[in-house]
Amino acid sequence: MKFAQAVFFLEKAAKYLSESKGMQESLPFICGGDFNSLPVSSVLSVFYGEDFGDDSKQPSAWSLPESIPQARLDLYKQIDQMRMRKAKNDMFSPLAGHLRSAYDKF
Amino acid sequence: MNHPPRFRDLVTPIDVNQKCSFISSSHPVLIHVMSYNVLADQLATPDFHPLQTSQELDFAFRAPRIIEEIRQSGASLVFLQELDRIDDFYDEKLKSLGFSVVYGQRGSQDGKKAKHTIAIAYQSSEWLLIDQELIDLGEVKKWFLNNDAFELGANRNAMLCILQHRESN
Repeated sequence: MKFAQAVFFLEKAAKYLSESKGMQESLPFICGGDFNSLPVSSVLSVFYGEDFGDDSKQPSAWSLPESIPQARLDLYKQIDQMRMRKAKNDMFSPLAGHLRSAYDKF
Repeated sequence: MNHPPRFRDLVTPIDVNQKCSFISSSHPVLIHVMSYNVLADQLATPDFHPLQTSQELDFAFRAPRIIEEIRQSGASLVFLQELDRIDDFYDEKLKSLGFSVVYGQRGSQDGKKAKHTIAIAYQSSEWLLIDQELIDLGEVKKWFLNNDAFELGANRNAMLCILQHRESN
């Protein structure tokens, strides 16, 4: 659920920025909050554009728990496919150049 | 498989802990931001926090320390989560520190009563609020109409604000 919400939020934020006419080039986008999630989590992996996959090496060190139920795994994959489709359709592109991160400092 | 551009490739690490610097006009501007989950009073119970003493969970004990933490941070932008006790504490205290505050959804939504909300507090002397938009994260359930996992409680919000830095414009 949080994984999907993160994708949803980024899409909304990108749309909001794109509709802020005349401001896209100069607006820094500061994203703050606890995201109701841990620094090592699927949510943060969305913000860092990590590839989803059972065997991928994630910089956030996030990985699916071995005991994850199949239904939940299928849901993760479904959401990730949705994320990839949206990315391919440039739905997140208004955020390009606006995201900065303090992640490496923690 | 060809992947679309990654967000990671779009991200620029900042150079100071919890401080975000960027270039606006020709002048570098240093912004001090703070994100703070203050723990809603309604959730400060022994059931949720068995390692804390009753005194530590008491809002009368925590509240002045939370405000002092915010004051000492020197942040001009504060992102708050799990905010309750707004009318009888936070609103007045934050304003006394020079903040204006934009709150997330408050009260009931879809017949569900919210326990707490989010807020963006900004120093009025440094920032001018241009626009704000609330995002109902519960809308994500529209993507998964037949999945009960996406039935959320009330007031699962995010918030977007456009703030103009007064000095750098």
